[in-house]
Parts: sequence; structure tokens; C-alpha cells
Amino acid sequence: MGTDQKEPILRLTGISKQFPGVRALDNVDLSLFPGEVHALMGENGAGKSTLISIISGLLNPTSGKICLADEEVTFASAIQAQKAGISTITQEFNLVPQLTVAENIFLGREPTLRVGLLDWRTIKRHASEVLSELGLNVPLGQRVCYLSVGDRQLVEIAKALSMEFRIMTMDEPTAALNAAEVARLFEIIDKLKRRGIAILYVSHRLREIFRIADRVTVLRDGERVGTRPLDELSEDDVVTMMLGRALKKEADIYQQIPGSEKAALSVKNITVPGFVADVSFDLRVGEVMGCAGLVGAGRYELMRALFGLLRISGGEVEINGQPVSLSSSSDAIRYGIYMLPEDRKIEGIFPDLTVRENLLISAKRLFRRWSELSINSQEEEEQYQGMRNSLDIRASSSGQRIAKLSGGNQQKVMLGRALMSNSRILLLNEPTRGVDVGTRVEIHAIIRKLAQNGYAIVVSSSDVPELVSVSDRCLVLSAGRTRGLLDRAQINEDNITALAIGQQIIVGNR
Amino acid sequence: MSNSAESLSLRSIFSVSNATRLIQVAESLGVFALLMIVVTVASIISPGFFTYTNLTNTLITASITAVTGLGMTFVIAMGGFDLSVGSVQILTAIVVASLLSVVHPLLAILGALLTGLAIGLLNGFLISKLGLPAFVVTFGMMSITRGVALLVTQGQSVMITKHIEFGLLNNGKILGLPVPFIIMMTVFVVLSVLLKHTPFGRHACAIGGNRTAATVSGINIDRVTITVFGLVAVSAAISGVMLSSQLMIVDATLGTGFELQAITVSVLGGTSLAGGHGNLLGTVFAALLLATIASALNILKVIAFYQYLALGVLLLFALAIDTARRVFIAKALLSRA
Repeated sequence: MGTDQKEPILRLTGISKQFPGVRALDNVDLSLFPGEVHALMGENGAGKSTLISIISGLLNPTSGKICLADEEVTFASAIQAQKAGISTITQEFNLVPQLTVAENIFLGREPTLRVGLLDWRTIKRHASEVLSELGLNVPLGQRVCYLSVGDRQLVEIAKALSMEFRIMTMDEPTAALNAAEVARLFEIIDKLKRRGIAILYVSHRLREIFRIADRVTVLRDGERVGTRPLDELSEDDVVTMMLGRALKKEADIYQQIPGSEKAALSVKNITVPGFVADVSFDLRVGEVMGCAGLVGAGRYELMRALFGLLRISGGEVEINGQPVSLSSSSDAIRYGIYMLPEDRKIEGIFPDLTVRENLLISAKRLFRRWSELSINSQEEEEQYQGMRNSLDIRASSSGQRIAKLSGGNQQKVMLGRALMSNSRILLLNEPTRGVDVGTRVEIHAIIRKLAQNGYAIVVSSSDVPELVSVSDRCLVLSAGRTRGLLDRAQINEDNITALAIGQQIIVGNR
Repeated sequence: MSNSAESLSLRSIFSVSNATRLIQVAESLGVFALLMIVVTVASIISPGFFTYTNLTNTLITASITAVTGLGMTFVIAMGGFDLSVGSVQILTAIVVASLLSVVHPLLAILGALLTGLAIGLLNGFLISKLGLPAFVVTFGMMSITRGVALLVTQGQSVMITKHIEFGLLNNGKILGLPVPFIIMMTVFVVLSVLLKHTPFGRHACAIGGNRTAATVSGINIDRVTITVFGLVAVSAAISGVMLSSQLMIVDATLGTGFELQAITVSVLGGTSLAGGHGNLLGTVFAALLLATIASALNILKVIAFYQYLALGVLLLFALAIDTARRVFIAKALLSRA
């Protein structure tokens, strides 16, 4: 790299950010050199997003200096940061669904003709240039709402690339991308590096960091733990820096449970129109069954159908040997099935309700007993405390708004909600998406523990290592059909991935 | 073998982009088809309908509604709506009628348009700078404006006696077409260009589609909001001038429910209340449809009260279609993802 001979293009010194009641960043230094990919890591709540927001002009630091090529700057808005050459790819989708691909790319800085009308020719030419650089083959006139999630993320990247910039911040850019798209993104990052662009890259995925980043800065509780070249570090070192302690090995989590042969949930040849065709499996009591598949394989639709949210058109579902019909989520809950949704923010939490209310929202069936009309806050508080202890939920009080918690703690509340529903069959979708490594391991341990206690659990996840570490068996879907049902001895990342991408290799026992 | 190849190619032909194009075409054509059906039925069952006089009158009524409807489409595309247009229409109708007795007609019209603009800018200011919801602000403004109209007229009618040539705005013909229709088409063309081919229009849609994205992209949301609310109020003022010229005698009790008509023609024309895009052509067709239904009911000697029923039913119908369309798109997307 030779970064030490160059001058940093961006230098942050002593950056602190005080929010009411929380010190999100405390005296953080960070330097970015031209042509380097600098990873920013830390658990949820460590201050990564705050730091990125400060760099991209969305927040102002309480104290500290930002220098761009030795010149001190302050950004009053995201636009000023953009004009100064800082381009941002955010975690949230910042596209307008009803506008077209080309319109989105140039939103806010449309080239115009002299009379004030849009210069469509220039817009189209520039847009198609960036898109072809990204290898994204979508019509420019397509409205963004009709694109797949992965394509949208690529359009977002195209938007960032279409500006003049010297520094790019990327906040979890691969979260919605499939393997091929990730590979393409990495090629682009390499190109940008060669052009001398400095990239600040946030991701929870350690492997990615080691693949593309040169240096890493680790934050913990708003403080900088250290900045190191990655070739001096191992994955364990980074995790230790992030947690301040060594991580319990993922491999230690899995323990074979003497399995029951009793099927809690038996699915026979079910079809969900448009998504899933002819899928069968038995989910046994005390078992964690993984469900793997690429985006679009029908995993989430299968889960939603089993939770009564999508119509099942053919086949049978049996619970404890009894055929059931699931036409709504309240049906499913009555039969003892509970599902954690894929997108916690949109489908899961009630951001303005308290932690306790969020936890207990599914616990009561309203109007079943008149006494339940009143809220027994002491009883609720006890229930909350019990769940808080067993799941190690870190909230300042039961009355705290859930939106204030980190993603990992929100997810634990969601798990608690599932447990409070009195269901014995749990369908968990992406249980650790957007969750930091420490909490991720805790959640995996909780899942295994629940199985030991006789729950029957399906973990549907795009995170293959996660499936490997928690599953007793693993169902692999591709294009809505079963590609395989791996048993424990066959479960490894290669086998799952090979089946998921539809390779017709038969995986033998090893 | 050949069967599977065939289904594969069929599948790729009927890709999402084709499906969405179909939806987009259907959005305009749907209401147009409905219009054609109603016109046909009306002409068959009542010989009085397909006469020159009646068609002209229907066209004039439709044009007055459409002008405000077009402005409303712009606001709805921005994710808001304006309940004060009915009151603005009547206040400006009174302003122009009153001014005609003292100043040149052009100045009188200008006065009416400026009155509308002022109210609209005030709406926009309260919504953007004070962060009040559009519903509350325009609902309040609806009552305030109506109150002002009642106060300045003292509840009396204002009759246009000077500058009778003002009536030409209603009865006049250019190239055989009624002037109100020409006015409406002009508004349509201007707003279409603004909406589709200027940064301003794209920014309005961006705000309606994803406010955060608009902010992050450096769009001055306050300025666009204020401008759009100014624009819809001016469109209501144009309708007010047209109404004044049509009736030649106006009072402050007229124009109730006009906001409902404007919203109905927007939504019926294919503009989703969810915001993000506006279908101006659809709005024009929907206004024609509304006027045709009213005229048919008139000729059939149906009591005028039923027209309120018809309007309500149409609005609910339009909203139901809008929802169904969104569900359909969501499904198309899911199967795609």
C-alpha cells in the first residue's frame, strides 16, 4: 500500500458526538488515504453509523476537527459533503420507487437545457455509462419500484458513482446483494482504489473485510480501539478488538441433541402459487432446521405461508399429526406457530412502543377473558424481567422505547416476543441480520437452547455460516423447489451454496 | 420439450417491465374506456345528450373541474393534497367579479390569480416551515377562505354588470373550441411539461415517493412544497375565474364539495394517493367522465342530490382501484424478487 508516504485525504481528529443521554462518539481519530479501503468495524451501537453520518454531513460533531486534504471543513448538510467530494452509499434505500432508474441516478442534480427543461440526452448517456460500468442491465426508463432488491442497491451505488468524488463511504453495501453482485461490487471497489479513491467500508461480514480492505479501525462504545493494517491481523484478532474479549467459538455452539422422531410440523407437497412448488419436510420436536436459498428462492414465502400470510394452494400441513388449514396469522398462532419477520424495522418492531410493550404484544389474546382487558403492569413487568434475564436483553428499563436499542437487542426482544406467544414451533427469518458478532453468537446459542428445551425451529437465512452453526438439518431451496435436505454430517458451506445456486452435484455423505 | 421452451419464452416476454407498461397504459386508458362507455350509454338512452349545446356545456363544466384537478394531481404526486381548493375557487370567483366593476378585466383576472397564489403560498409556508400536516392546514384554510368570502360579500351575490365581454371566457370559441377547453388544455400542457420535464416536477415526485431520498439528494423540500401549494391554488383561482365567467353572478355559498371533485378526478385518473407520480392525462379524462355523468343524470331528470351519491361512489371506486393496483404491483414484485 505504502499509505504512510502519502498525505491523508481525510483526517478526523478528536471527533465526539453527544446525543441527549448518550455519548455516541468519544474523541475518535481516523485518517483515510487515497487508494485505500478502510474498514470500519464495531458492534451495533459502537458508533459506526454516527461516524459515517458525520463524514457525510448528516450530523455535526459536538467537538473535533474534520480536515479534507489539510483544510478544515464543516458540513452543514449532506449536499455540502457531496460537493466537497464525499459520496455516500447508505444502508437505507435512498431511492424514489416511482421514479425511473435514470431519474434516480440524477435526482437533485439533473442536467438541464438552457430553457430549464431536463436534458434527457445527457441524463441517458451518463446513466447508461455508470450502469454498464456496474454491469447492471436494466432499462433506464424502468421505475425503481419494479427492480429487485439487489438491483436497487446497485442503482444506489450507480447514483453514488455518477458524482465527482474523492472519498466514498459504504455502509453495509452487500447486505442485499447475492454472491455474483458482491463479486461485481468488489471489482468496482478495486477500480476505484486504482483511481485513488479513498473508501470507508462498514460491514459486519469479517470475510469481506479481509478480502477487500487494507486497514481496519475498530470502534467500541464510541471509542476507537485501534487502527491496524489487516494483513497483520487474523479474524479472531478483529473480533477480540471489537468485543474486548475473545469470542466464544461458533463451532462450540452446536451440540447434537438426542433427537425426537416426533414431527411437530409436517409439510407435505405444499405449493404457494408463484413462489414455492411441491415442498415437503418434517420438522421434529427439539430440532433446528435450516432453510437456505438465494434471494428469490422462495424461503421467505414458504415461511410466510406456514404462518398463514400467503395462501397455500396445494398439499397439506400437519401440526402434531393433525391436518390444519392456515388462513391467517392468528390461525397459525392458535396452532402454536410463531414467525419472526425478515425485516425487523419494517415488519417487526413498533418503534414508538416500549421494550415491554413490544415484548408482550403477541402474548395476550384480547377479549378471551374479561380480566385481560385491563393491563396488569406488575405481572407484565415480571414477565419482562424474566425474559430480560434469560435472553440478556440490554435496555435501560422496560419503559424504554425499543427504537433506542441496538439491532441485536431489538432482535432479542423479537425472539422474546416469539417465546411469549406460547408457540412451540418457531419460524425465524434472518435471526441475526444487522446484528453484531457478539450478539449473533448469543442468539445462536439461544436458538440451540430453545431446541434443547423442546421447541421445533426453522431458521431461514441468507447467511450460510449461520445455517452451518445452528442447524441439525438444512433444507435448501432454489427457484421455489427443494434442492436438498442435508443432514448434520452433510451440512457445510460448500454443500449449501452449491445446492442453493442450483448446481446439480449430488452431495454424498462424508 | 418444445412446450417448456415455449413457456420459458412466454415468461420472458411477459416480463415485469411489460406488465408495468400495461398497468401504466391501463391507468389512462381505463378511465378513457369508462368515459366512452358512459358517453355511448348516455347518447343512446337520452337523445338530448348528444346535442351541440349539451356537449359544449359538459365540456365547459369538465374543463373547470379539470383545471383544479390538474393542480391537485401535482400536489398528490408530491404526497400531499389540498382541501382548500373549493373555497379558493369561490373566493377568487368573487374577487374577479367584484374587481370587474372597478378595473380592466385583465387586472381583475390578475387580482384573482394573485389572491389564489397568496393563499397557496401561505398553505405551503405553514406546511413546510411549521411542519403542520397538509390535511390540517388546508382543512383550516378551507374554512378561513370561505369565511373571508362570506365576509367580503356580506352573504350577498355579486353580479357582473360591467365588462360583460368577460363572459367570452366562457362562451367564446377559438377554432370552434370553447375557450374554457382551450384554457384547460393550456394548463394541461404547461403542467405536463413542468411535471415530467423539469427538475421541479421530478423533485415534487421524489418528495412524494421517498422524502428521505429527496432530502439526501439535496432537494430543497420546503421550496418545492411551497411552490406546489402555490401552483394548486393558482389552478383553483383559474377555475374560479372560469366559474365567474360561466355564471356571471356568484355568491360565497357556491363551490362546496369542489375539493372532493378535484381529488376524485385525480385519483380516478390514475394518480395514487400514495404519492410519487401524477397522471395528468388521466385527470383530464376523469373530469370529462364526471361531467358526462352529471349531465346524463341531469337530462334524465334525476334529482340533483343523487349527483352527490354518484360522486362519492366514484371516489370510493377510484380508491378501491388504486389499492387493487398497489396490491397487484406488490405481488408482481414479490414474484420477481
